[in-house]
Amino acid sequence: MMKTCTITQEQENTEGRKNYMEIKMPAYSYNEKLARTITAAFMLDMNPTVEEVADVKTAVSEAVTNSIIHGYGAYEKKEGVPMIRMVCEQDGLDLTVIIEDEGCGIADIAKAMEPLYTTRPDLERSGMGFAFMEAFMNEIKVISSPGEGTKVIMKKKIAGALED
Amino acid sequence: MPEEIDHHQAVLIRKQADEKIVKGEIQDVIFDFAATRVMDSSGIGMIMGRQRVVSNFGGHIYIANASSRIHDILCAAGLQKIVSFITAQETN
Repeated sequence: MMKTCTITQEQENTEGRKNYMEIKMPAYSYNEKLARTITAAFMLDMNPTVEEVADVKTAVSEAVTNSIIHGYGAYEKKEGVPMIRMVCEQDGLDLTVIIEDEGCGIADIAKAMEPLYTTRPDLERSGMGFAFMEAFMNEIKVISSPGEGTKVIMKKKIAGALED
Repeated sequence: MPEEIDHHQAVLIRKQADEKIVKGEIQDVIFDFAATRVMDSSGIGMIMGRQRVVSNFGGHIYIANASSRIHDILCAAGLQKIVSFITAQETN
């Protein structure tokens, strides 16, 4: 006589989980995609909605683009390729993403963050980068001074998708 | 338009579009966003730039099939004042 039973995979409880990731990549424009794709993979564990993933991807794209165009744009390469450092941190449903460069820095942060303000209209920049980071994340902090590079710290609370 | 539009993609699209517009003296250009899921502010600058190019030939830019997300991003800088949003049926 054969006995049968069914084993179902239990939903893993990821509540309150903490995680951390730190990577460095060269400031090439094709790494904008790499940066946001890695971030999207990192936050999957938080069970985000499609919209939340798109929000974070856009914000990361903005920050990395800023480092490439503005941070390192008029940058005289001293040695090697300029690098961008990215940190992703998970604390339960709180996501923090840090994008940091060692570029020229920002003299007037408030001015740089004004919607439609750009120093590079020649590159068809719309001046909406920081505005979108603010719009798509819950919190953004910019630490920078001339010659000292720029660090952007962005936080987002993930409300999460409902279980199917 | 690609699934994701960032600064890197925008530079490639800009180059390709300008070559075709200038060569063919194209007036009206339709950018189809049906496949686009993620876009950053680079998309705004790219559309604004192309609008300037076609305006030299008396042309106009049309944005087709933009999701509400893409629509909102494009309109954040007031793009709706210089381009027209259309749906798939209107592209013919």
